[in-house]
Amino acid sequence: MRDRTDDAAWQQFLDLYGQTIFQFVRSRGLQDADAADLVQEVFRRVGNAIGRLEYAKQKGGFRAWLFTITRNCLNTYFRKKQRTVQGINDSNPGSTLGQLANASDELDERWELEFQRQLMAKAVETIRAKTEPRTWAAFEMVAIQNQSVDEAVSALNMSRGAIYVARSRVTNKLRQEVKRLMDEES
Amino acid sequence: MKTCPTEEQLNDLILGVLPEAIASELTEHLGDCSDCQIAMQNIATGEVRPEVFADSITAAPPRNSAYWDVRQSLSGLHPALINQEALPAASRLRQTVLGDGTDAPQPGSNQLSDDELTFLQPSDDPAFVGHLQDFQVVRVIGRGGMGVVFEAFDPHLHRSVAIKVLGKKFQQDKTAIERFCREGRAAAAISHEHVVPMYQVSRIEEGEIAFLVMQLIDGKTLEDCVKERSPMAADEVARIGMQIAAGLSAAHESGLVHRDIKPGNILIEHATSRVKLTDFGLARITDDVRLTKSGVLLGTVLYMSPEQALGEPVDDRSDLFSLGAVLYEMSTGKSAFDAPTPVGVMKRIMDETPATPQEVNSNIGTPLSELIMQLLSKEPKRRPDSAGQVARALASIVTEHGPISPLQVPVVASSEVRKLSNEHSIVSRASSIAGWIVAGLLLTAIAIFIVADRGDRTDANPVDNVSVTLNSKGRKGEDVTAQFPSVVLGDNPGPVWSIDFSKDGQTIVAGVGDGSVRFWNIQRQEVVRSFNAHAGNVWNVKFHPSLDLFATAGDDSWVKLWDGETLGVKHGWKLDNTVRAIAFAPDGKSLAAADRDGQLHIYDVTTGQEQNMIELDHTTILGIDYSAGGTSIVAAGSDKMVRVFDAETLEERQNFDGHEGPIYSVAFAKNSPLIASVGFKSDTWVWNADTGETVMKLKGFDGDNWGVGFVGESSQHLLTGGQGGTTRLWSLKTGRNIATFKGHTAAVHDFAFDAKRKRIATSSRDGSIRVWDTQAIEKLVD
Repeated sequence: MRDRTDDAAWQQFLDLYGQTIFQFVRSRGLQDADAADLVQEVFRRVGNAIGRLEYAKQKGGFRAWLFTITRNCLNTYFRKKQRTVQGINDSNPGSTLGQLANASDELDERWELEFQRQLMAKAVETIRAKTEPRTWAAFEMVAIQNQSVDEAVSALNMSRGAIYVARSRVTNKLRQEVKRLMDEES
Repeated sequence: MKTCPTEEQLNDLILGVLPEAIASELTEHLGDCSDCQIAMQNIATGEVRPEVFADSITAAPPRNSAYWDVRQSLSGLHPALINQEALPAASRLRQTVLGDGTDAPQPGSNQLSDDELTFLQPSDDPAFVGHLQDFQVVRVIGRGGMGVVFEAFDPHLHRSVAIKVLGKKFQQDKTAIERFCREGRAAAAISHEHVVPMYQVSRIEEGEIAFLVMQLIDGKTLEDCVKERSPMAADEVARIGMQIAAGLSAAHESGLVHRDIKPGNILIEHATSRVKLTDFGLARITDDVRLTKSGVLLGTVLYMSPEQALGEPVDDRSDLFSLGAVLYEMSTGKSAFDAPTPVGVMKRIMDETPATPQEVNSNIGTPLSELIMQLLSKEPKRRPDSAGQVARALASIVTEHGPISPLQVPVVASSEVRKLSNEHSIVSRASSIAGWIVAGLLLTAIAIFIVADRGDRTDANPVDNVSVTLNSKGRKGEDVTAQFPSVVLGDNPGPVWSIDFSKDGQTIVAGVGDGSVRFWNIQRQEVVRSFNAHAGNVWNVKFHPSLDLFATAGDDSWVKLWDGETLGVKHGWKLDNTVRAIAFAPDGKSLAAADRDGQLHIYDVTTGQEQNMIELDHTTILGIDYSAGGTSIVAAGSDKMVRVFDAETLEERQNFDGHEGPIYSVAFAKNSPLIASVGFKSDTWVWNADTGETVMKLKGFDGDNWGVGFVGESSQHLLTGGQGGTTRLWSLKTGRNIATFKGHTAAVHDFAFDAKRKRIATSSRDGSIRVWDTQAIEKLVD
């Protein structure tokens, strides 16, 4: 019984952080396969440093720690890459790839944004299930699928005002849910 | 509605708490008022960046991404949540761990659960909870994720041991068992005074339990010490740190990284206050296991190095960081990287530099503070080069706080010492003694010590003198440093009243207070033979000068001559009272023995027959010795008189008067007619047996002296053993105390001298024997 609970926690943990890392390093310009490799490397290091899933229960500072490991792996990746590039073209010592990895503030912000995005994806799942379908549809069309309010009005047979209210209500719930998840994680 | 609603009304609309009528009115307004549309959405979005909502749809990687393969392989690692709720408090992090995470003893924890008992066989003796192979298990000392630690008794060697048994859940795991045994063997290869000796590693056989047998240390962990008294005094921090570093140095020399240096793995021996490191490399056992099987434990992360926190490969320098974290805590009373959670700690370890120890605790000197901060460098290459270097730097800091015993200066690995002469110290603190150091800080520490306790007859500058002596050997002196002093043969079951070197110099025989005689192999620091020789104290033990025989004397009034090979008694003589003093004639033909009734007997070693005897009135004889030529015997005791007798006729030839109280020990020189005697009060007297003159009186300062002996073939030097455990080397040319050996914690009673190796052995009431390598003062004692 406990094992199953633990396993579910582990899977959730993997999803949240695995995707955060993946998307984060993709945003740094890594190709899909390289990004996947890097995710594996980060988790290997996490496993080396501490055993397994203690971290799922001990969340404080975990994200920041994971970020440091990720950034470290990213730097290693770029260093290797740079060496390869230099091997081919020695006249280009200061590769832009390396610089990308070092802009710390921007990286930090990007990492947090990516994490928030992952939490939002989780929140969407949760809130969708709890929301009256037509209200959700209004939100989804306008806020996610970028359709116009008028399109939503005709598709959902709602007033303009009701579409706007639906959008804001769902937005607010999602925000609350992300905040809750964030608190849970730290 | 013409006028726009307030923010509050918009907020209520979002929350759906407005009355129906107002809500529909507002909703209608919103359909046309773009200002209100924006205002309401701003309230709803709050601090979240608006694009996050839309972007959430692409949060997951595409279906065909390589990510999903990785994700699949990761989910295959079956996790096991640690059954430790919340772990957040730092105090929880600092859980006492005997090595690998074995919790320290807790009240009631010595009750074994059935689960733990399964590998123990029932014991016939109710005093024991069971036995494991031949070991009788006494109690649980500690337990933890990796297994259980027992106190047990080894019936063959008659000693208590600590046994670490790999936990049940790992016993089925071949990788874990192999690693456990491999690390155990690696640790067994380290023989160092600051490393807990590993006695035995169990063989790996199918169905056999895996366990390690090691010395049982009577003491407490550094963790306990820190809890009791924190922060610690700076000199204490440096002294303990120096010994930790020395132990680490030995491990690193054998290619072993500890990986888990923390206060819980650092034991402080009760009797000697000496540091003993335990659980080398054992941290690794759980590393692999926790990635593959359930039952993960989490030790503390407070002393982890940044590279460990990052999951990167580690080397020696990782241990140095951990040492720095330990020293930091000792000197400030605070963890360098404390945080509410383990990962918080790890993050701080990687990114933050703590306030210096000196900033936290102004009693910490700059050198120590700087050294600790250097150890805590994030980058391994910025840390000191080696544990040996750290030990030396700390030794120099220790000397700032006053003279230290050479024994407190650990022996660093020899290769470290060789580097000394060319190397600059990371923390140069030699200012007060600058100008004469030839070989670096460790030598400095010893040399300071050698001169620091000089006798009060000194008038020349002793620093120059010793310096010249050390330099005059024409070499750097590094070997000297490495070998002086070193071996402790401890844990004898009572005071060691008497010792002697075997002829090959490899063994020391000891007469012990419990009636036993023990043979110590010096190099291995092991008791190789032990047997009961007398009822009560064994007061004296002497090797025969040429044959494989030795003599003992004891409380039971017996004098026994033993065969060195078979340990059979060749001859035994019963006197009328306790026998404290015996001596072989230099030619080995006779044995002299004297008792508390004032009787002095001479026996024929070959036949066992008594050759002669006299009885002195109203005295107890406490010390006797033969002259170098074997023609005279000196005896002294409670009547304050030193008497010289003809060895054959036992006619009294001389007597010397001067001692203020009983004489405890007396010795003849090897190549001169000089006699030295010590006893009540601190003075040492030197007499000339030929002329009857008083040669000199050496003024001591340690209270009563219990032992005296001439050193070296030329007998130009004298050793005295003091009440407090101090042994002093005196020059008879100058009458000065030229070196002092500190380390024993109780009176030094006897000496032995190994001329070939220039080693002095001392025995003490503290139950230990110490073997001092005196090549550093070779010139002096030749």
